Amino acid sequence: MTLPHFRGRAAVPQHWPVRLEIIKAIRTLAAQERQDQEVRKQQRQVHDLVLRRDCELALEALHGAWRECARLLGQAQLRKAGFNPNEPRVPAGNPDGGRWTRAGGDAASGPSMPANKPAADVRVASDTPGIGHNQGPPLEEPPKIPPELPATKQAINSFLKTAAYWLVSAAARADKRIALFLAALQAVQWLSQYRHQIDAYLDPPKTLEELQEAAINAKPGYDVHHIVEQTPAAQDGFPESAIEAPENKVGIPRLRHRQITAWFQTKNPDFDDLSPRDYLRGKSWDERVRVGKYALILFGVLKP
Amino acid sequence: MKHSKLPDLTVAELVDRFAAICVEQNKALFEDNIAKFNRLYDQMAKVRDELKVRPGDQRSALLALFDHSDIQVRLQAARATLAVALEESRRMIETIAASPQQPQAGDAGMTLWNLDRGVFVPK
Repeated sequence: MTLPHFRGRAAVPQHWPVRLEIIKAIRTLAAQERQDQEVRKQQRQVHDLVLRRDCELALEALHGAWRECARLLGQAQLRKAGFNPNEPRVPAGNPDGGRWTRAGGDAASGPSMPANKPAADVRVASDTPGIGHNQGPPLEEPPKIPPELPATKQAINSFLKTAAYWLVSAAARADKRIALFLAALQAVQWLSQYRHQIDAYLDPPKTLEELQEAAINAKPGYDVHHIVEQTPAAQDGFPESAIEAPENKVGIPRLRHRQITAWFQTKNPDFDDLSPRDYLRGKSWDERVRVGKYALILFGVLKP
Repeated sequence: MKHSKLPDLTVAELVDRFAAICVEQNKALFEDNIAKFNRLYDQMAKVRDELKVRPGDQRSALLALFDHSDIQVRLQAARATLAVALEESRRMIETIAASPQQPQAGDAGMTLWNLDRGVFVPK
């Protein structure tokens, strides 16, 4: 009788040197596996650390965004209640103190309405047209944030303006998407060097003294602006001592500075189809100061 | 944009052209392109003046633009109609001045100030 052939037994090498080689190889493989496991463990730890740091940064960004959001929404609530900080008001100590005067009050010389003006001529805050009074279409979606630094300066400026304008409009509507958008802005690396321009645009109006102080050491995101425009004033023969005087210089948000400068240069029906700059040619210093200061008020930089 | 001679256009076509120019003005403002804005302004002023000389002063046709989605169109239409519909136009300018949308809000506020102090006399 022939015994059945047992394959398993036959597969084991019969010679000890070969067996030892195999054992050695198995040990080597096991050691490598342990090393790999260790490496994978370390990688996981590093990943967890990075993730935790990211979470901390994101949380920090979110907290900052919420603080900003609360500030903007607070302003928005005041606006919704009819408060418009840009409107001139009757000074305190007056029978109508604190109430708003006409929108056309002379900002440079203070509210134009005398104290004894009939009450019917005083426009109360609730009369102010606000959001919902034919303000156009509803607010669009928040602008898309480019993940990488845009290639041109123009594209960067375009995004900064779009973001800043959207935030201001969203704040006026108490739009809840503000918080998420602010958090998203903070999370984008390339924006860190430009973010101050957006932040500055969200500044509430300040007093003239505060703005003049800000001109001494203009912070990032702010420009030094001349209330009476430099070049036209010099061309009209006004002395440099007046043009460069601290009273004539204010530190204002860069994006608002561009808006005001553009306003001075663009043609306007108010001035017989001339630009304000051309209209002011040959005018007195006082008229230039009046227009310059009122522009600061209307563009949301100077407190009325 | 088609460049037909303004006298050949109907009132409705002039209104459409006025709106289209103002939309382009808003883009130019956003791009800080002052020269382009001023060129567009001249074109807009010609359309406005063409409406004015039409029988019965047809600038009132621009009141239809008060519902336009572009704030620059609403602002320029309101300023162009002050002479023919003072109250309605002023209300529109006040609304824009109270809005958060710059630079139009500031520009509108300045128009109110200039109206009140007599610098801007609509004619």
